[in-house]
Amino acid sequence: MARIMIVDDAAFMRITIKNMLKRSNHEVVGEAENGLVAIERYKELKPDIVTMDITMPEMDGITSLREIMKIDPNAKVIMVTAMGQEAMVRDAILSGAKGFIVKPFKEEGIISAIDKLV
Amino acid sequence: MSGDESLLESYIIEEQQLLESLENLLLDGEHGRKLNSDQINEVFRVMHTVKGASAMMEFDEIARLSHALEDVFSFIRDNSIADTQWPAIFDLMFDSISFFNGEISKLQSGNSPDGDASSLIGRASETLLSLKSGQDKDGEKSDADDISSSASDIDQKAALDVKSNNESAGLCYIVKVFFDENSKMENLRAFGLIESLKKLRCVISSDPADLNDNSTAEKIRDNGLLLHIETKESPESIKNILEKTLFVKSFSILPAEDTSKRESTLVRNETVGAKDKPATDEIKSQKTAERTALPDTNSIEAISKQNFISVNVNKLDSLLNIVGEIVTAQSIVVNSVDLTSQQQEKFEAASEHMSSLIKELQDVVMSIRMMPISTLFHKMRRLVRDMSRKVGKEIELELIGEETEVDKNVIDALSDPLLHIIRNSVDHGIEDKETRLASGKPAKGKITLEAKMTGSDIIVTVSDDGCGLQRDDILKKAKEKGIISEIDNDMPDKDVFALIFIPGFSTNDSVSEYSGRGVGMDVVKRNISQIGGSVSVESKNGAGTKIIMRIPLTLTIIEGMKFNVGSMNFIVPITLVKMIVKPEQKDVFTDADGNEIFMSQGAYYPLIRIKNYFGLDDGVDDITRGMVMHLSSEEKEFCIFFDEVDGQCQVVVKTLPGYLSQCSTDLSGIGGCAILGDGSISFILDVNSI
Repeated sequence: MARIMIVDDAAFMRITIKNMLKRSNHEVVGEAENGLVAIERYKELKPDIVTMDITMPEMDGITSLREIMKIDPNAKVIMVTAMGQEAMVRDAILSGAKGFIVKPFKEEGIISAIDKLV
Repeated sequence: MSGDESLLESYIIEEQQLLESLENLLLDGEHGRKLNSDQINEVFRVMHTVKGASAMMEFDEIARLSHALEDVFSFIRDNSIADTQWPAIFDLMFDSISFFNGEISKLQSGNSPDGDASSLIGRASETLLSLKSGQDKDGEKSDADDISSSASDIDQKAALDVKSNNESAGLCYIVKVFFDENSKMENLRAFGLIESLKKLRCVISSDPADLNDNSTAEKIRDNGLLLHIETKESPESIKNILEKTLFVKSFSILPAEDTSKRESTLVRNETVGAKDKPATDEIKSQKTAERTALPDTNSIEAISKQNFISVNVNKLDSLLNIVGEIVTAQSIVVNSVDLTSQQQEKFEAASEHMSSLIKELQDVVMSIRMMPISTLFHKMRRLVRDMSRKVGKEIELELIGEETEVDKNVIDALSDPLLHIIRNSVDHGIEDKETRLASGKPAKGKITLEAKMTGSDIIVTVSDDGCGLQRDDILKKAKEKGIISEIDNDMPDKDVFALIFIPGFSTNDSVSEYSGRGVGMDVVKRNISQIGGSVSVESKNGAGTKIIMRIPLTLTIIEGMKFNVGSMNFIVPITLVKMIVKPEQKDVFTDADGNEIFMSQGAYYPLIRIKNYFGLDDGVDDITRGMVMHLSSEEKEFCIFFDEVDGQCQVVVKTLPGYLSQCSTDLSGIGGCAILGDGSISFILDVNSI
């Protein structure tokens, strides 16, 4: 079981991911709707794993990832991305993301990714 | 499956919010004939979100179209486009929003979103193509190219770094990796894997070599990724990294000597970056800054958003109902106890406390249901935009008081009337450009939509600067339709204009796509009076028309004045009561037609005997033994005669049961009913329909 924080500006995606994680008995310790909030929540909650959307208002996922990596170089952040965002995924990898999942994804996909990181 | 249902629900709610904000943004943008970079980013972001969520829900057509639009805006975001290209983009976006909304409403009514977006997707790709070709002509280099080339520069530089770190060569390994099916973007997964392997201070080359090229993803998917790794670390450490890499399905690690044949097929990744790294970094950080910077208003919105949750309105409806029942139940309890005086004191203190809590609860529930009327007003912007284009008139819609908060029920009930009134204004009210110029008006017509709050009512007015209502035409038409028996030229304007609210009346003979399709102003009036409101119209020939809708702020709980006639109880909203008097015979007169008239405060008003009006069996007939109440609403002012006043009360308004209208042909005069504290039923007078 991992303590996970979900970062996504779309409430629908947060609910979807949360439902998937809960079914596999992971604990969703927090959610954030943009990169800026994610940084604050990360400091408070110290989650084991973060799922991070890339395109968000206020602060995008890559910038947020970089900030989180500065706070905690061992942070485990999985990017949630979509086809067409290849250039940004590359940035994310170079900035320390532990991996990425591509929307639309299946439950097994995200769970196996999380399980590998725990 | 309730989980899936709530998922669908949240999908629908979110998409609706996104589409609404998108539409408003586009309408704002269209005003300035183009979008600024913040707005472009926002459109891109919304389309991206819609795409992601729809793909997850497997609503493929919605996902395909939003993907196509995302591509268009991705291009616009990275390239400046000519102003002349914007109109087509606005049209495409508005049509697409209509498509999305159509699909969402299918979902809402429990159907599957089976619409075909192909033609819109086709238009999106054509738009993208024409944008791109316009760009080539200008000979500008696209920023998108810059990004990918800068990214590859970094990779190449990184490859060099690894090599320079590697002081003395170690052993060579050939590693073959397969990624999970459906893991997608395999080239980048390979790229990420190589990034992690670099920790081993090794030299790596890969086949396929160019992981920047997204088309290599397919090759890796089918044939796997082949890595040539030269390191001093043990193969165990390679294995550890591979095991921890997400979406790696299987891998094999072999010493290179055994596969010397294959080694020759490996392409070494030794290209040297041509550009300076700092320069590319600068480009990238600029890009990021652009993407991050949003206007202050947006950030405030984003921060305040987290304090809101979306609730199904049905739940609020039942909450409101329950609160209504509590109000009733409480007054039944309070009125039916019989206690000794000592107990009485305690009981009264407790019940008073409970009443104030219930009142508070009621206020909170009502306030939860309040929403800004802007949601409704903004729909009208789209209507005016589409219609004015169709009918070829230039019309500006001014919105005043959008922030006014009203009950959800009011928003729902106002929607159709507003649509109808505005259609009328655009179609019949506002003249065409030539006529306007000839009569000295600005070429652009103007419709003003205004909401404001008075103490107990919300007043919504729609006014236009069009030709106004034609008094003579209305009278003529009313006579033709048999609504009035004779044309009375002395009839006050107010009464003439009121004729348009009578069922079956429509001043314009031509039926256009938008207005005059059988539904008339009578429907407007009916909808408004269903929520306890009233409509009136003011108009000046040649200067425009103003339609005023007055709606009580809280719909379901009213402060009322109770009175009775014989054994029947009635309630009238206290806001309409001007005065109650014990009449004297000398105050009552009879006019030539035999109608009774009452003198109140020096003026004369019609006197209606409630007993006769409703045809009741018992009740007082002698004027001096009953009471008179002076009532005044926006539309009417008159006096009623009844037996006794029962005092003031707060009641929950219930609509009359449907079967009553089947029993009786005429329920005019009754707006609803209420259950009183003692459990008896009371009718609520609808003053405007008496």
